[in-house]
Amino acid sequence: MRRAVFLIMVSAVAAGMFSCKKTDAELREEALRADQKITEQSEINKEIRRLKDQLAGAQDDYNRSQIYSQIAGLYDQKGDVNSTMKNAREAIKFQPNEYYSHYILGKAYLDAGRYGESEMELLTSISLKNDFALSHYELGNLYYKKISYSNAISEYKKAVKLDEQCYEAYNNMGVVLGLTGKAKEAVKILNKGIAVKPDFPVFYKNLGIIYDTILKKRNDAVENYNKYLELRPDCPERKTVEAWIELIGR
Amino acid sequence: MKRTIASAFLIVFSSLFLFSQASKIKLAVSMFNDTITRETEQQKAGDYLSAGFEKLYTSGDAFQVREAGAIHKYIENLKSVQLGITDDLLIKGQAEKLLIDYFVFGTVSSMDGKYNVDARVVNIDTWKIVKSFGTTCGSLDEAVEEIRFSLVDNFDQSFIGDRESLMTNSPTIGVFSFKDENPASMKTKYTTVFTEMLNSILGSFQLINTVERTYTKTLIQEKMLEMVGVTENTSTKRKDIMGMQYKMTGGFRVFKDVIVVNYKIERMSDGQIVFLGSRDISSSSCFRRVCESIANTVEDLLGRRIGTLKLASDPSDAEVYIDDEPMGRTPLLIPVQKGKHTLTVKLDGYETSRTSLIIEPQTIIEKNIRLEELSRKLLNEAYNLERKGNAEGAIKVYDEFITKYGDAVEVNEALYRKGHVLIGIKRYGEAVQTFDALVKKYPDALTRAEAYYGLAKAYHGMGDLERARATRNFILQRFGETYTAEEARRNFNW
Repeated sequence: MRRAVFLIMVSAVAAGMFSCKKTDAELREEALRADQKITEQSEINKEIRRLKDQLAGAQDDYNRSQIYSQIAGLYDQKGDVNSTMKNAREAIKFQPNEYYSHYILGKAYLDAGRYGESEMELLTSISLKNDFALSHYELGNLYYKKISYSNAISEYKKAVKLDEQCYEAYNNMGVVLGLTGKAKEAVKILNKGIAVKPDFPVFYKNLGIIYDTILKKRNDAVENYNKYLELRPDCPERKTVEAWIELIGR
Repeated sequence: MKRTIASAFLIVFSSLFLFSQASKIKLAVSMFNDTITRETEQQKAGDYLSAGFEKLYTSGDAFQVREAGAIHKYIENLKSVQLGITDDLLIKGQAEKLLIDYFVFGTVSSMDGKYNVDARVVNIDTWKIVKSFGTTCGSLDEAVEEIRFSLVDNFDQSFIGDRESLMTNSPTIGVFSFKDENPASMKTKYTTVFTEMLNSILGSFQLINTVERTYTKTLIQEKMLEMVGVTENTSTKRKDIMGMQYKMTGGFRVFKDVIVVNYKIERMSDGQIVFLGSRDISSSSCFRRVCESIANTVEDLLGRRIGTLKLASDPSDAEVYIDDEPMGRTPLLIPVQKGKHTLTVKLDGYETSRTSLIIEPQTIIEKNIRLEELSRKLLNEAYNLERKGNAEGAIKVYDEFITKYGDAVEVNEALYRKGHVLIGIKRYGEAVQTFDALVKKYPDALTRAEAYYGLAKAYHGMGDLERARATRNFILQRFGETYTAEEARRNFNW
């Protein structure tokens, strides 16, 4: 009898162990959920949660729109395009005349490849506040993607005129000028960008490429490639840039 | 007699030897890329791993291995293509001369005191990954042992047969570069490590094909000027990359207590983004798990939820819409979400074709749409009535044309004319509806500026000054340099 009870107990434990055995996929999902919990405690996610909690107590549509707009801005910082779009749309629903929400939505549409809607939102943002440099900068990016280079340059120019610190607009303007064969102007603009933000590595890589491929100024190309590697020693294309330098030296 | 027997033996043994060689898997182990991180490069971890795998394959009966030295020239050419020095045509068609069917590629990097080793067997003709395995572990030997089980011990002709038969109808994806999207990310080496890992893990999934990154890299490491805030690889505008239907790109943003990876899947045929995803990660030690989870999502999306539509039309070059979303022009081979859809095919001068379409995952649906020439008879009749001052009659015929031809491009003309006729007889409310329908339905129509002009006029006629002014301002801002804007400046002085 004792043996029978023992056997039953052993079988039950064994069966329990068997049924508890998780597949790799389940274990992976479990680990990912645990990781997700950790990420929820990050500052940016806590701030998003705090704002979402505030929505319940929002006094009016204007306030609600402001909160949605801030949430959209935080998702934009994270690069989460879907959540940015969703929250920016909500913000616009409650307050259609807020330039920032239109800007954020236009930027998200651009990231999502929805160019028509992006253009509409960015133009609306500009019509509501035409001295906001970032709307012009994003509109420049949109025109670049639509291969409308003269419009892109015009928007980048507006962006840097409105905000001299908008160094990314200098870079992108330099790229577009380079692409349209205006290499000397491109060099000038990229150097202006460097004056604003000397530690931004991409300027040097782009200058290197323009000197190397268009202006054929080998020394300047090498100097800029080296500066790029100095500022970004672990960049993904490290070996490639090193090989370009080597090729020039041959 | 003896000589005859000896000859017979020789023939039999030679045949047996040749047969046994023919059934062997012919491959070569390429140099494992260790340049992703400086530590592995300095340790020459790539040399160590490739030598280790070459030895393993050589000792296995199932393989006929060509030494890496024998394929050196090919690898050198591949590198020069990757550096943008030569065209990728240089490596096309060279595979036959290598006398192998498969390459073993690999990458090794080190992060957080551990090695990330990923290896994959790649078909030399198609550049698709046939089998892959990756691991994150404490030593290179440990990595070789773990990978050996999958890529050496369990890699045989029967696996290849099953895998390659599945490949025929499966969608094909390529992993392109992930960018550093904020300054903190630029200080890390996450993007490269993650991209290589993802490429390898996607290659292990059965319902999708993955084009080996060593090949796709050949197309993205050219000397391209780098844009900020614009995520794209301009050199991938080519649409014929190894039958690749989708490309995956993404970016990293690093914050002090969280890493965010964003990714998107783009359809190569028309550049349409079919999926946008975002993941928060607590630390780089979770990368492999996150890659597996993302690969799962991709397989589910492309392998279980998407089929293919092969569409032709007579005449060709017609615009194609699925559920009112533009897809490109005929002839077209495009992936479409499984389920029921409305297929619209439009061409100027032809009746729009609207049919329903059922898409099954992993299936190719072929359709050939014959477009009927559109008759402008009704439109001309309406113009004549309008000219004769018969507004009511003209409106009736315009309506008939609009109903008959649905959303054919010419309908925008009918709507435009109808709107003006309605203004002429002071039916402003209906005019607003008509112009509104035009600008919504045909946002790119040549008549859209004029339609807004009509809209402003109709609002003004209704006494809605606020809207009339807003529409006028919109014309001046959006179509500032057009004749319509000039007209608006001249005539709308409210």
